[in-house]
Amino acid sequence: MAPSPTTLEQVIAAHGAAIARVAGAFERNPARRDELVQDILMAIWQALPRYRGDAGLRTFVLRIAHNHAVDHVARETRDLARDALDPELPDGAEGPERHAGLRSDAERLLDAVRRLPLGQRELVTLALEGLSHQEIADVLGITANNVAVRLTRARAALKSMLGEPR
Amino acid sequence: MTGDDDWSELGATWRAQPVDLPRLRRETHWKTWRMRLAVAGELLSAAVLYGFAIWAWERPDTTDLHRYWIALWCAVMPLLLWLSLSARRGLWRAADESVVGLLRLRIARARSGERLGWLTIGVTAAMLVAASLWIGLFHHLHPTADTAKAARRLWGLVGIVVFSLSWIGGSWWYIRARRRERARWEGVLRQMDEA
Repeated sequence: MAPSPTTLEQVIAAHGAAIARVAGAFERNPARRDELVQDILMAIWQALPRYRGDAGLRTFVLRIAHNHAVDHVARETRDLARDALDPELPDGAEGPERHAGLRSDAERLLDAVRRLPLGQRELVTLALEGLSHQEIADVLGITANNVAVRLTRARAALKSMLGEPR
Repeated sequence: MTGDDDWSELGATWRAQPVDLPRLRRETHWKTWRMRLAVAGELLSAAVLYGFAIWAWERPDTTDLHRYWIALWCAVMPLLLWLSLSARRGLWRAADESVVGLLRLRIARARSGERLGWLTIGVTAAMLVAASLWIGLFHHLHPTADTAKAARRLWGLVGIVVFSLSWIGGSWWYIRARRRERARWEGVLRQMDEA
């Protein structure tokens, strides 16, 4: 019996949070982040009829999310420059307590991920979502060995930003 | 967050970020309906226009020339509709290509755009030279031609020059835009490679 088609509702329930986190890693501005999430979800909605289940749904969804995120970053060149010049720029939605050292581990991690170069950010967000090396390789279009090597470098960079020993 | 292989621990921290799923669901639901309505509106407009075309075709005072135009429009309309609906599909092949594959595809498309721009400039310049030579040498090629029409030919040449130079300027602008686009995508690809 053929599997029943996946609906957007099911995707949001299972992977909506992951999509929002990926978007958050590539866009600081809350309004533009919401737009990016919606763009990704619309693309998934339109692509779902072509989903045959040959790759895992999570890989399928995150591939679309990352394609859109990279597209978004490349198009928003001003933001790219801003990110490069001002890595500490605070999120507009965050309050002053952030600067009083009361940030959670998750916020610190998100900040560190946002400061990574684009390529490493891609690898790290996929690894943090729990994808295997092979799945990351499938999403990014590089070999699994290459993923392992790059992830080691990215982890060192991430730890350095988090102020932890490598 | 220590240890050598701590992606799972970092992953748990990462996934602890709060996400408002009900809001996400609501917004997406609304947006999918808006898109459905937009597509339905487009299809309905096309149907109304087809109805109008049939009505115009059937009118007794419609000339053959008008019927040719109606037939041409009816043939082209589905193509335009298809293009419009395809444009709504967002990023082309976003689900089938890897990130690196898509970036390379975009670079290739920008490069094709540049080539097309240069080709347009070359063809326009060649046509401009050919037209100038033809008008410039017209009197030598046709010594018996009416010299009173020389001024009209000269104005014709001025028109051709203005149009061709504008066209070349537009093509040059297009090439520069494609070049900037290619540089942007190559920059992103470089960042990916440097990871």
